[in-house]
Amino acid sequence: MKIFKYFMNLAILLCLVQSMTFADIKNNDILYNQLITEIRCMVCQNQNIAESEAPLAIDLRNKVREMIDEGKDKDYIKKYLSERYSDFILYDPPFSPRNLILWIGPFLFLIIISFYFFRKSLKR
Amino acid sequence: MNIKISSVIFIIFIMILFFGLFVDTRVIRSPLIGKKLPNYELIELNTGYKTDISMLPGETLLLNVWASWCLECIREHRVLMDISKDQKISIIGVNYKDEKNDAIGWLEIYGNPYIYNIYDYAGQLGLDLGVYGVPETFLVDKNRVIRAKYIGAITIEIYKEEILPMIEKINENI
Repeated sequence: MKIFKYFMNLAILLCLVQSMTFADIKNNDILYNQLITEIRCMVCQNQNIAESEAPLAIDLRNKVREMIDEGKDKDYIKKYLSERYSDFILYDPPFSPRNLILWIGPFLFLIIISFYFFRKSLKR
Repeated sequence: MNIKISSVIFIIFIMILFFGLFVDTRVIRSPLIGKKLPNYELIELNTGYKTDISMLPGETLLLNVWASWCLECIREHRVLMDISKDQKISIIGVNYKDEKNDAIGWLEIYGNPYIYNIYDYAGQLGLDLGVYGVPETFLVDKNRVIRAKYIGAITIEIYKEEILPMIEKINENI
């Protein structure tokens, strides 16, 4: 019975060690899965590279995986891809003068419309 | 008064949507324009010799990304043959993700307008160049700076109306 107890303890210890060594790899998987949903497939533009089976999407997935394995972080990978394929490849484009209208357009529209209705209600 | 304003807004809105129909979303301005050509260490397609950026001819040239599996490239190929006969600009090929024998056979069948071909089997140079729709063509000046990018097949109109004036402009400035 005692031997069995030792054996169980050893097994639990092994599990702990294993989960610790694989934690890093698991974090990489999480980052990988997150990143490939945020990168657009340039061939089929309404799909991200996680969904797309275009050859380019497969290449980009492999490239992302490779860079993660090299220990590169999220910002580096996003910059790497947008330097080559322009910001269009990112589903969450950075705030820049070129896509300013994209970011402030809806708010501008909201302000104009509400101003219009506000004035209309005052007239009444 | 009110109807006037709303109808103007409506017409503007419809016009925005209407002109949106004619925007080609496939053509995306490359962020590489104005930047240096990325370096590469690959082999030449026919000879197997090592080749890198320093071996490019020191003049304005066209870098044409092609593959034997690319149907559009066949159509473009005739134009490239004409351009090479015109002898105003030299064309370097980038054979992108292709089998070597297929590529060599393809050149034998359709003719070879290229000075030489960079054999990019892994597609790393293609990735560095932001290639997503073969054929793509880059206009590179003698300082190895990318001046223009053409996505899709080059036509004789593009060559005469865009590339030739661009070459003249580049040669004047340097």
